[in-house]
Amino acid sequence: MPHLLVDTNLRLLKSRLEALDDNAYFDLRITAYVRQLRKIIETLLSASAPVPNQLKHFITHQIWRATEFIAGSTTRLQPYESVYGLQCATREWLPQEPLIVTALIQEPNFYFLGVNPLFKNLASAGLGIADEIVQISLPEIYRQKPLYSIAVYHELGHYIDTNFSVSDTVLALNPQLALPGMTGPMSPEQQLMRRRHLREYFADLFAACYCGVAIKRFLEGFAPDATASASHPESYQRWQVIQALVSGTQHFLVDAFNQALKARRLPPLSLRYERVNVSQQFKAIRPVTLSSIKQVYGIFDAAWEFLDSEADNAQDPWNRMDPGEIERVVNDLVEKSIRNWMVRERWEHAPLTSR
Amino acid sequence: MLANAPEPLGNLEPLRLLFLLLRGNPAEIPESLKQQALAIIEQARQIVTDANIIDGDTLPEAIALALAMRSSQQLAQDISQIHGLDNIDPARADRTLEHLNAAFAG
Repeated sequence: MPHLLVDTNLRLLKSRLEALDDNAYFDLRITAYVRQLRKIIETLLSASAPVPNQLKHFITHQIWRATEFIAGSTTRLQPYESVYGLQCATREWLPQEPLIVTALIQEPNFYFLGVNPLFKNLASAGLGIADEIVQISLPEIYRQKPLYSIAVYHELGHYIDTNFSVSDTVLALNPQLALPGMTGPMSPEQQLMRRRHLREYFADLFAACYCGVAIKRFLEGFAPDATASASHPESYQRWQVIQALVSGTQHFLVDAFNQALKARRLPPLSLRYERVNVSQQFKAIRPVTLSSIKQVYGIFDAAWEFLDSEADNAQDPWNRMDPGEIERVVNDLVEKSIRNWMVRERWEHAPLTSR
Repeated sequence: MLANAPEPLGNLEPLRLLFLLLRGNPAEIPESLKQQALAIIEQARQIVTDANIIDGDTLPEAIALALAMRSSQQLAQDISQIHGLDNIDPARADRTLEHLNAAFAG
């Protein structure tokens, strides 16, 4: 019998998943997910009828990918405060909260990776994996930097878009739609570029719904002079669209997305955050008391503003800190403010018997 | 955020896999994949005719395929000829796969 690397890979992944089973996760559903993936491997390796090799490769690839995200989602690694906000944001878009898993990467980028719909269907039919899985990767150096992790909202926007084909609906309803910097008749390559750019605009707007101008500030710092590429619009154009939404200025792209969202029976793009006054508390190096999930989203904008300007003008002890320390303390204060809200929320909603 | 994850066909990967498997032994294709693919193809054809039928129940993959059909006449022609999976020979599967890949390779 010839040696099949794909079978070896499955066995290696099974060992890796067994090791991951021993870890602790904030979301207990991850442990169940790990066990279901192991079961898929066992089924594939012991199938009485031969599984087509291409299908086996496909499933192995999906499990490999899933393993990377599970490995980054242990309590030791997952940026839990950032993931918490994402979980809350999904409530109005999805019938049930998805399982959000994160991978930490060593490159200056954020990614959303979809779980292949076919894998989802096969896993659901065969093993009852019912949870929607959202896979997001972020730079490891931002793990404890909630202000720099807000691009995860942009990635969640990609998930919503992929899951409901929002951008594709825009193009189906408006075949002649011209994006900034793209005019005239389009070649097939340009049509593809338009589709990709549109997806980025949607993800930006989605993030702006929750983080406001903070996502623009982040993008300005993260990719200040990115020119248009085959996959992404020019940064300047992205800022313009975000700015239109947060300032309430009419913009044809916001209108087009809202038309598509309406057709798909989804909520419109609108601002979901509430402004928080962090100045007084942060100046005294204290976390703020957040009183609603809207304020959990709103703290990003306020904290960015504090970081950008107020921290410079603040009195002792801020004037004794170097820039690195200021950034670290502000991120810490944001993290603690969100964590305090999470603890209070959990306490208030815990069943009385467990108190 | 600045570059895309390597997932060229996005939610149309199941279709790609279907045509890949059709080039081999169609009897080995899982029934769930066949049903999923046929549902996508059927809805995509309807959307190409009238995009206003898109609603909350429309399969996202069908919307993506409809767009690809609009941008590639060859793919539109391939898809319009599919009425079941039994009559697709390997050569036709190969051609359709090629057109599907081309529609997403910018």
